[in-house]
Amino acid sequence: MLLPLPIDLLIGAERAGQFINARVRALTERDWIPESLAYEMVCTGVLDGDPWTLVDAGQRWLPRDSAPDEVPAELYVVHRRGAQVLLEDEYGQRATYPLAALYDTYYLHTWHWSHEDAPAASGEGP
Amino acid sequence: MTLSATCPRLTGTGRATVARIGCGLPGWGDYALLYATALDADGRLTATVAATDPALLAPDLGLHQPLPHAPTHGERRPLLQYAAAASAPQGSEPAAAYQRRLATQVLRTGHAARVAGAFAYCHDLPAAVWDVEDVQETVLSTEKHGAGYAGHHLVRIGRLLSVTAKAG
Repeated sequence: MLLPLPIDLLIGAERAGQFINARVRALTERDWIPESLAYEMVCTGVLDGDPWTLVDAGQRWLPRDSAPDEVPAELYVVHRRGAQVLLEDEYGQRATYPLAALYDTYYLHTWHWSHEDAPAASGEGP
Repeated sequence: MTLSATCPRLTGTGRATVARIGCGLPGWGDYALLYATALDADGRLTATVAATDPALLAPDLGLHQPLPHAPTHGERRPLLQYAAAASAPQGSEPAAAYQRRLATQVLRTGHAARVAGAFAYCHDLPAAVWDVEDVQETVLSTEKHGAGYAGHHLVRIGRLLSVTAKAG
């Protein structure tokens, strides 16, 4: 039996698969990384809660227990552009950060899916 | 095993990704960052990540415009100094492991620009020539874990002097 990925619980298994496949395609098409390695990288990133892998528009990230007290209490992802992410804090203030800023400090808490859903496979639609 | 070494200057050619990158730390500006990869003589993957103040590069690279909701000034301090400011050593983390971690974070920033696709602050140059100085080399491969992030054996991190797009 396949165990659910952490993001399955946030956006559902179908959207999680769509997200993972899109990340894998970016690695194989834009950096010519072999597909097997790309899947390994993306799935490891998902399981580790890695912001480089996970960050996407519509997410809410909260501080880890180990985060310093002075960091914003919540961050919303407005959009992601490459290694940069535009974040909005709990007071509505926006700032552009590198993805590295979330690493080891925040974790993905909520995800309001902002993409079109992939069409259902033939015979499996509603 | 030597974990890191320095070399004064290198010139590279080939595909390069250039992007304007904000630091996200108080008092730090934006970098113009170059990311490129190559195979060494033993077939191992090496990355070059280099950065400078965007104002020091040619305007035709399209990196002079400030990022939205970010500082408008450029950053001239070394990339690894920024990485260290953003991420302190964890507990009793050995110096070599800390250096590998910082180098990997710099590598991942460049790699994220590479796989993002082109947009206003990020461009993929299919053919380019670049010059880098103050290069610090960090071996990412370990006997225990094999190659480092995305299969990289080595990452060279330095100060970007120039980058020029060439006609394909």
